Amino acid sequence: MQYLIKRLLQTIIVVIGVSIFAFGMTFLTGDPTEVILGDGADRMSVEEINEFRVKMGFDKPWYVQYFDFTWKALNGDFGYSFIRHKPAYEVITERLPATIQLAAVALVISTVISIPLGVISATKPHTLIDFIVTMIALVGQSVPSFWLGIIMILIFGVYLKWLPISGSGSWQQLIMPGITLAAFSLARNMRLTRSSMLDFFQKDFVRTARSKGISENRVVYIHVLRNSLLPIVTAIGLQMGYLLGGSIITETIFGWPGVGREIISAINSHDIFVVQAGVMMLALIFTFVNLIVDFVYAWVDPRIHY
Amino acid sequence: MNKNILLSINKLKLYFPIRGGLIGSRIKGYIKAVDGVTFNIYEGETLGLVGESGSGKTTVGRTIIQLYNPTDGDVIFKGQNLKDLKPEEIRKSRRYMQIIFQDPYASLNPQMRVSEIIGRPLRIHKLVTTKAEETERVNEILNMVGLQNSYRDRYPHEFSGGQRQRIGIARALVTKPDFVVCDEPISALDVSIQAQVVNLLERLQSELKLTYLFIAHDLSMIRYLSTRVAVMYLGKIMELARSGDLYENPLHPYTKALLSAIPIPDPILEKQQKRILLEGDIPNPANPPDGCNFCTRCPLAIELCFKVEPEYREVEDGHFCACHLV
Amino acid sequence: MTLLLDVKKLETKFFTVDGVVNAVNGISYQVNAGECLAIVGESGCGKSVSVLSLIGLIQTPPGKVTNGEVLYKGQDLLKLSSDELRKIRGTEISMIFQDPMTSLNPVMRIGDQITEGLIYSRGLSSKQAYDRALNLLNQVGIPNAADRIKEYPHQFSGGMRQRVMIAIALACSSDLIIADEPTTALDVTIQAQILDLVKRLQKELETTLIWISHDLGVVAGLADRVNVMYAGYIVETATVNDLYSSPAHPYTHGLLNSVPRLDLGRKKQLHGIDGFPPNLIGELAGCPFAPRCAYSDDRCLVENPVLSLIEKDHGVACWNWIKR
Repeated sequence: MQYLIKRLLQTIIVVIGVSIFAFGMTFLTGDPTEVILGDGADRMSVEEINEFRVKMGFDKPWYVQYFDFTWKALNGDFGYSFIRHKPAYEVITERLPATIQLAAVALVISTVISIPLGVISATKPHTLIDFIVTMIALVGQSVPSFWLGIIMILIFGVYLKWLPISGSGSWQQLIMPGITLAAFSLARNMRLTRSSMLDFFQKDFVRTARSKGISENRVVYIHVLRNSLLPIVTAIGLQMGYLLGGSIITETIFGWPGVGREIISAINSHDIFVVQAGVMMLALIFTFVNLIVDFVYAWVDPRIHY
Repeated sequence: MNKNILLSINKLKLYFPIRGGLIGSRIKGYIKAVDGVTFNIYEGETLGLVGESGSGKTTVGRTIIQLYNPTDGDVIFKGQNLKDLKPEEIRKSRRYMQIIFQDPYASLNPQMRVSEIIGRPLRIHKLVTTKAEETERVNEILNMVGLQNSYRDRYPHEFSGGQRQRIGIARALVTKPDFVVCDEPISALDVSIQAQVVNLLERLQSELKLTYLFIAHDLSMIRYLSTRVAVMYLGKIMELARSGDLYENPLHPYTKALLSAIPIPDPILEKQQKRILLEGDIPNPANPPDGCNFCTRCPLAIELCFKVEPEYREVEDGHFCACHLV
Repeated sequence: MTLLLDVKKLETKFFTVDGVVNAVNGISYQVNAGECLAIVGESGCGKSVSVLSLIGLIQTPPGKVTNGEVLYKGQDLLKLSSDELRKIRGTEISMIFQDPMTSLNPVMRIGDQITEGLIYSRGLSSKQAYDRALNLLNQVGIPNAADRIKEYPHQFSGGMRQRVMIAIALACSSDLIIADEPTTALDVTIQAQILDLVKRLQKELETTLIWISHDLGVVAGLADRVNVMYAGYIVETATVNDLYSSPAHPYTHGLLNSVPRLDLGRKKQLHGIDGFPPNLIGELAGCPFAPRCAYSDDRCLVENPVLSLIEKDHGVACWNWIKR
């Protein structure tokens, strides 16, 4: 219990840290007034620019601005998007479900394929199947996701015309972006499962298990796999960050209407508040997912919660 | 063995803090690894320090030569209280106080050649001025520990456990120290090699006029090697006496149980042996019992033992004990 | 005296990148029902590998039992299929290992680890297995067994874990128990407790015990017969009394001289054995102990002596064995 409270407090500190960073972003390019007004500032008089500045609160000292920012953020107010003509918060939350859907599909694909393949390759090391699995893993980790995405679009979308090349809504549209996003994690999890299991096969308690005369299947699944899963659970937790961040590239390539793609376009159009809102949202999700993974880990490993 | 005191240890304590709290800043309690030990070490003797896990014997050895900073208490070496020395001076004194470690596989730097491992201390303490001098000293000590000169250019992984331990001994003795802590130097070795190394240590002791603090859990070996023996339990000394006295006339119940637990390589004696079996496990050093540390397992414990810690005192000539019943 | 185990010319090799390691070189011995055989030797002598070979626990690859017969109650274990061998492991022969810290599954409850063998090998129901496990925990002296059966290994101390290991071994079978240095990692007073327990259980259950150790004191108190191993060979075999009073092989002699005796202190001078054990890779010419042996001659360097009887129940593999 104490462990959980400690983790919760640590999470809150992380969130505060991210908020400072997100807030600080607005000042990276200098006076935010000019950033937002952009080219339009040329046509405005100095008084109008100043008026705007005061209205937005950019004339106040930074700590006051930070306090305002935090206070408003807690109420769901992240500012206004000048491009989309809605509150920044809405812009992000409208697109969040799409991102989460894609990330979830990628997570399922990578986990459901990687763990069984990892187990097979660990139980039959140095055989053909092991070699194939290892090669797939190597390729999956080395190939950049944008290349994979584009190649898949070319092959399956353009030449073979099996799958739609962009947009969302149907399950066919989920396949290619899902695989693209899942590729790296799938490869990594396969290798991790394999090496973790091979490592545990050497342990003394596996020898004890075998000496009891139980079936080799039981040894593999109940003894080795259960222990091997612990580091894999941690890796999957960290994977969340990759999936949420990597979604930016995948969403852009496939035209997937998620938060990632929105952040990119907001950056390009200097829509600061949307960027802030998007970053904060993703960071919050990531931190809390990690917290849940830690809880799951603590529940799964008896050495922590006893 | 003459009666000059080389080292005087007075109420030495080493507590390891147990940390808790958000960033590990709050101290929840202490592991009392060494909890107030007092004894002298005389010039030329071998003082054996024996105990089971959690007794604190290894920590005592390392604290005496200042690898750990004592939490409290004094270590007086050749009349100088080490507490009063600046870190720079303590480093200089290391040439006179050395340590031989237990694990011959972990205690030698795998990236350094033998000549470097043994030669470096000479350079650090400025005991040689030329390369030739250093080479000569290294060869000399290599021969003394029974290794050939040609081994100097090799790396540790090329040697067996027993040979590595000899290298470790050579490294410790190359500065011609007065005092050497032997921290379980033979526990990781095979039985036939143990005897080789023990004989070597004895020979070196008389040739180089060394004083040893010999830490081990093998009481038979300690009895063989030591002039006097101290028995530790959970951070405190339970009994200290001359080697023969401890075996023939053990006073403390723990010592008696320890002695009776040791198997003797003689089947006829073994089959007759009546063992004193202790109940239960060794308590947690973070939470020692009130009163005497041994009270929870002592077959003779009386009510007083659970409340008041017994005083460590000299019961007979040269025979110290901490027990209410003595 | 019924013969329980009859090992004939057992050979085990490890095929590694550095070469072929001859871990066990054609050893033969017998164990009678109810007795305790100790196998003594230093590291690398092959004692652990030889017993793991008996019940098919050698990692293949790189290891392989390349020759021999292991007749248990008349049946050759080496010729059994892996399923049949597993059945024997689950019901007739069990093992206790050295390091109680690492030999138990850290994420499985103690109770489940004991009942696992009972349920899956012996076919007991959950309830039956659980009751038997509780019984066993009591038998091996774990206090509050009913509570502790639900706990995990890290909640037990070293000595307690070793008792659990003994319970697991007994759960599978109490006909033949092979113990591979089970007390080496324990403190002396805890070791005494465990040895006392084992002696008691052996008498009660009439178990046959094969006990591996390098500790000559432990062996003296426990064994009826002793095999001394060196470089994969059995160099001497005798009753425990004969071995300690009149060791015939120079290695045994040297070993006994290397061990200090608590009761004799300085009165017994310690001599080690010069040199170090041979490299097991590749073929060795002659007696493996010859380079270190004070009694060796030219014949020893070229001809490897075979284990032969010199007296009733006392065998030595030496050309110049030490007479009484």
